[in-house]
Amino acid sequence: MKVLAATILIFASICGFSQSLFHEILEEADNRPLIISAHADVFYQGQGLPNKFINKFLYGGHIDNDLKDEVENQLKTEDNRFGVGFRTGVKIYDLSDSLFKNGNWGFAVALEHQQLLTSSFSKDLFHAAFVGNADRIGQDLNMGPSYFNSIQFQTLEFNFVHKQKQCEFGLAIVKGQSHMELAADKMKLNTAGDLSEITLITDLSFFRSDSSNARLSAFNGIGAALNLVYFIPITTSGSRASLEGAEKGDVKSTLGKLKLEIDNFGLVSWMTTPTSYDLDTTFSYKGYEIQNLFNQDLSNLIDQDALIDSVQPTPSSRSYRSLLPAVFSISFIPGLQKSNSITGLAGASYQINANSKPIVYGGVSYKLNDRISSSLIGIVGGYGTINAGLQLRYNSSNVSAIISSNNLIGLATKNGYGKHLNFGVLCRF
Amino acid sequence: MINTATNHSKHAVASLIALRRFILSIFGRMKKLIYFLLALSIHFTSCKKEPTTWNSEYAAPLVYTTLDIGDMINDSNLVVNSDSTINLFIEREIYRLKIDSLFSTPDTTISEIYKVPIPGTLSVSPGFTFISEAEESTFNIAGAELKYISLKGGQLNYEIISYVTGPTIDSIIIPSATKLGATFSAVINLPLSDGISPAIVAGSVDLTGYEMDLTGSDGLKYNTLVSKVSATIDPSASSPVDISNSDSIRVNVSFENIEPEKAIGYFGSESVEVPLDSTMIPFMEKIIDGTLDLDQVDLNLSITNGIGVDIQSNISELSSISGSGSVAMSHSSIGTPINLSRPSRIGWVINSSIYTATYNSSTSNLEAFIENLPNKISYAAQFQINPFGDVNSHGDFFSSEYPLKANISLDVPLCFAANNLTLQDTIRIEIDQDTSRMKGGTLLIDAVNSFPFGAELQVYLLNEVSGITDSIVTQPFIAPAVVNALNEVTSPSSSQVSLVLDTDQMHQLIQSGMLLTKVIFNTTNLPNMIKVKDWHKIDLRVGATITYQHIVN
Repeated sequence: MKVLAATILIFASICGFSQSLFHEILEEADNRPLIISAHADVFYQGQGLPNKFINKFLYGGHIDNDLKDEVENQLKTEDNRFGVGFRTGVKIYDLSDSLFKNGNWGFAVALEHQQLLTSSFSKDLFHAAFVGNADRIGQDLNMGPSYFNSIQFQTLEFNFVHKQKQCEFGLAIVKGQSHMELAADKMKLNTAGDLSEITLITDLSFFRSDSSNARLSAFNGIGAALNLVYFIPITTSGSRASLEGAEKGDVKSTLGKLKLEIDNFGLVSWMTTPTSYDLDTTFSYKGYEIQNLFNQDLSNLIDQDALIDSVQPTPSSRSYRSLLPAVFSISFIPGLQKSNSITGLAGASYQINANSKPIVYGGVSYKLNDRISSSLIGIVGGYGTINAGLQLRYNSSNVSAIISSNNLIGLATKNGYGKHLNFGVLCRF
Repeated sequence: MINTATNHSKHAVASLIALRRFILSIFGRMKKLIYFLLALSIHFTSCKKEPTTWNSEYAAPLVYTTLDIGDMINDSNLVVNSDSTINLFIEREIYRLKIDSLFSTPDTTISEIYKVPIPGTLSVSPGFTFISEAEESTFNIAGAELKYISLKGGQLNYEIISYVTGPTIDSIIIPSATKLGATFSAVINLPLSDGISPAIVAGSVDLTGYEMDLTGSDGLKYNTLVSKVSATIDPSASSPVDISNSDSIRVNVSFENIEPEKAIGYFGSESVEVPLDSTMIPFMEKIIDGTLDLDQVDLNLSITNGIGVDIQSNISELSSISGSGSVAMSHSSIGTPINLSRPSRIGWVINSSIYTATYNSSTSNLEAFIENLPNKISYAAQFQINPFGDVNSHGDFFSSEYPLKANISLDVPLCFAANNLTLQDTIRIEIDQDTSRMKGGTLLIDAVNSFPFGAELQVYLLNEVSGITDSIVTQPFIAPAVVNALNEVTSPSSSQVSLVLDTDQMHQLIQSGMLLTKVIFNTTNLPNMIKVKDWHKIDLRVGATITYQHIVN
């Protein structure tokens, strides 16, 4: 698995892939008709999969028994999660007053590439893959429930922007590059104690787009997705506000914004020579029966192709649809008014069809001066358990930039669990 | 309207200019970011310096089988008795007299020149027969005087060379050769010759199924064939043909690959020597050590004579040969002349005469002969054909369906005592698949044995120069079945044998493709004998654990 760099729009929520720029645009750049941004985000993370394991898996090296034992000891019996993602794109905002001949409306076009590989797996699946079943003779290997999703797609977004209402919504055309989904509700391997039989009980479904062409140019599916971002200003009464020149109890103060976002809620229809099958059966293998040991050609006793054919069902080539890994998020973005001020921030998000847990985060933002601010947060959920994140922001009248990570420990040390990095840049004209 | 359109155009131009300026500006501002992204991408995509590897150990059943005595020894060699005990009955033909030993029919060529029997030159019309001559030819048959022969193979080749200046139709007729009642006849069309260069036609005729009377035109000769050659001007010729006594036709006839099916005559008084030879006993060569104590073995030697001659035979040697030495059979029939009487026949149905000698422990040293565990039996003999001459007035007969042959049959009750009886064999293993990722493994053999004998299994790797390494079997013993006081099986026993190969040994095995196996048998309660019964068997299940190296590039 190659890990690639990413950009993310400067104003995105620190945890997810969301890309709004409203609270900055409307307050600081509302007089700029054109804004262009680029962003990238890359991560990998696995619950119970330390970086020294993932690094060897991704970048090479021998995974020895000690490391396998260490990983296995940290895995739960079921529901271990792993994800690798990469997202990048560019977006152009036209916030001139020409759209609908109404100064409140603007328009945005974005081009994005996303790839996401995720899994939820059992401890025994890890054992079967990395250790084998030889030490489980006479026992079961419960390799399910385990799920695996892999998708690569590109989107072309067309969004409307209402500056006053502080919302952005639109539709994206989705080009499906590749997809694979394995959902194994049950996958139990039993190895008989006398090694006389192995039994595999399966209840799984499998979908895969055209595997012969999965390059960036591949057009294996088409779909559509809905995008929505909505900001709700949060104000407080003036009795506790300290705005200069205001009378107590008469003036409302803006604490920040509540941001609601739906990102890529849609589906793709995979049409170009897809493969799918359901498997709900029990396979049993007792070995090859030799009719007469002294009168038989013993070379090539096992015909691998025949064995695979006997296990693998006849696949269907009908087209199928899959949900995009849409992100639903809600976050509080504080309004940092003065230099050296500190405010709290919090949010939650959930990505569907991505074998991820909901993410909840909270932290503080600190505004160093008019141009530089930062946020430090604690994160629970996703593909990990608890993480710490840091965001650094630069903001001038023409350029804004951001760099952040949701996994400070993973980024900085070998003992962490995963890595995450996102950054972006925005220019106003 | 016009003003509105003009305003729109101005706005559009202004927008395009702004957009161009904007794009150039953006590119300038984003240059550093793009460089950074490129650098980061190169970093991430190029940092996999070596493949990811790990070893997993998998276990699976490989094969299973059941071995009974019928699998170990060909079923057709076993006779099951009413009490479920088993006798091993082996019959082998150790000698068959070839017909060449009696008489031979080498290839024979007969060449004749036929000249036009007229003086001067004569113009003859189409259809005129100018040569018609009968001839007697003698077959070159060595060692015999045949009156009759029928063929199951062979061919007659002819070549006709003509100097006649017109087209001719020539025929070769053999009145004494018939097939299904029809006389042999070959008709050949020859083109005309210019009188200087001959016209030549060659061909062949299959003689399979032909019967030949070899008594000549007067019926008193032997090995003699009557033939007739004729030459006629082709009736379809357009004009008369001038022929003279200088014109000739040469006929070359040869007999090739003659295979007699039946023959009558006098086959001579030849002495046929059967030189010292041996016949292999399959499987026995694998026994390399130990002793086998057998009970009540019978060996029969039978000589069947289907050839219509008197024969006096003499078996000069019959020996059991093994790696530990040879044991010569001691019996009254060895070294003593045996007279085989002439068989009788009705038509070509022959009632062969049979001579049988029985060898057992009371009449010979057969036990020592067999317990020598021979992997081959050697023999030598002489046959004297017609020792009293032509007493049957050229009435000897031969039919390929009724040969002279010698058989031995061995009848061994599977009641024995084996003491460290050691079988050794080399097994060739061909693995077509890529095994470079296999890093060792274990073969686990689960055996449920109801035979009243146990086995110790040793398996050795062979290197390129057939050097033997240590045995790879860590648990080598298969226990015998449980027996009662009568040494009869009461219940099977279970054992597990394991063969362990590390990475180096596995590579050595794949490279050499050979395993040397050694199995040492011991029957229960030695020196008492055990009886193998038809329900005795051993169930074998072979499973494997393989250490496999995964490589992800």
